[in-house]
Amino acid sequence: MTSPMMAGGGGVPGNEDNLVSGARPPLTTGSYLVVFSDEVHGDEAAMADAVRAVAGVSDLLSTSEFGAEGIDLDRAAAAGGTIFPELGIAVVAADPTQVAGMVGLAAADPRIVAVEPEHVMYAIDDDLSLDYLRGYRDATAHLYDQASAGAGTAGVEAAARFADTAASTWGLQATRVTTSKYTGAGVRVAVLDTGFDLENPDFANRKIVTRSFVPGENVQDGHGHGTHCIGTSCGVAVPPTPPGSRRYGVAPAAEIFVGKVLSNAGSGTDRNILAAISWAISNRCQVISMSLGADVRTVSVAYETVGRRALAAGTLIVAAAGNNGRRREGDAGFVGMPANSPSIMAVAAIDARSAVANFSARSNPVAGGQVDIAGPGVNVYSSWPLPARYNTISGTSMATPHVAGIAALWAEATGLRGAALWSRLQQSASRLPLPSVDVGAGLAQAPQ
Amino acid sequence: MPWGHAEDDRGVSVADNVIVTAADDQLADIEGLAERLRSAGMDVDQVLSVGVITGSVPASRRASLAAVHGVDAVEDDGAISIPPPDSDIQ
Repeated sequence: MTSPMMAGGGGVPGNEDNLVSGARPPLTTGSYLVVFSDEVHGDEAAMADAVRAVAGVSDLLSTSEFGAEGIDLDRAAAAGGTIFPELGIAVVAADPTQVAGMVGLAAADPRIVAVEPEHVMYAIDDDLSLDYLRGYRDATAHLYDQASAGAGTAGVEAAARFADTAASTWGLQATRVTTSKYTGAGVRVAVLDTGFDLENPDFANRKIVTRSFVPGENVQDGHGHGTHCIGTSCGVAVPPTPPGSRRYGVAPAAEIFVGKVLSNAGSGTDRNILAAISWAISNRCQVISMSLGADVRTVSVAYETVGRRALAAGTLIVAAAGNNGRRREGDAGFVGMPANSPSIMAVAAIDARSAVANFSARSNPVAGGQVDIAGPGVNVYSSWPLPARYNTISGTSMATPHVAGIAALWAEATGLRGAALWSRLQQSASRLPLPSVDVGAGLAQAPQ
Repeated sequence: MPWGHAEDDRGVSVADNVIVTAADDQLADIEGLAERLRSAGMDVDQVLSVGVITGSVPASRRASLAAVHGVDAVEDDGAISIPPPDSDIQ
């Protein structure tokens, strides 16, 4: 038994953070949770020192004293505080006159992240009876009907609407890239696509490593798709003037690895894509962006195996879910290969009103064939080969480099790699009031 | 699909372009697996460190590749394509 909420005993109601009327106020135990920073987490002596410094508590217990049998609740209740070294948390008894002083000291102490009142938890079925929940459901359904009457879906879809501005694209706003302090510095992003417009002035002075896997073609982008995707994932923070442009790139300081796997006519083969993935892993790219796919339902052993080995090597592969949906005609499509591989992250496309794009493919029932996350993919403005220089197009191909760039920001911000980076992207995604089969964990969000 | 099939050098059967996925325990000696695949009739093109070997094999000998020790899967080398540059949806 290691539940920290049991340690304080007591049962002192603390009504200071009241909820909306009608809801039961949270009960606190009279004890406080001290949350330690990563620096001292696991270091029992350092955590004990920190507790003594801020709470003045001398009789501290540690759960490590109790071994496999777990904590002795009677002894814990009698002590001034209990440290849970493996959790990086202590539970400290404090009377109300001590709390302000403890919080003040803790705020100035880098060893401590937070001090919070310890709450009493309830199992939901304790007193939220089925009758109560049924009544709650009926009441909310009634409210919903009233609110949405005559307003079509507008009453429910109160979701944010974004628009391109002079400063930035709608997609960078919706993913909170514009306010992120991270740039992708020190992170390598490989974009496997139609190559790149090496003459593009927006990318002057950038560190770019290139290789063509298309026989007979150099890396220069004769299509535009690759230049657009690289612009979204890794474009500059302030495009040069003249001509001047809004910002369109997510990770302006990321190191760009251009792997040309699709010809200027827009086609490629598995063998060359797999070779490029192998090249990106060998170059220790933390993120691979693949805005490509085939309308094949079954999972490829080769892509899945390579995706799994990539994650183990610290490389996250994100791929476009596919554009085979025709939702207005009643066909939501299916996630194709290689995004249907369990170890490759499948990216759906949403528009500026947070609705699923008409073309964005729905989860495919094969194991791993689900949509994992969504990105901005309708009317996406980004770089294009000269002389056009910029272009606005749509597709899950455009959503994918948004997620790849955001993955680079998280990789920089947290140091996480591979499967851990995948988890963080999904944890931090903004949930959408849409089916998970269409948008997975929701809209990718940049670290702040 | 120009990369789909080609005649072998005797012109008596067609060759399949294939992707061979190596088992995890073959990664340390992927060249050894490539050599066994050659012996089984595969014309090896690329040996990738991630554990994939690409190339072609006469259709008549394809089944024998799957039986080579250390092979997880033999799959067709498929084509992937994107729409033309002037398409609104990419």
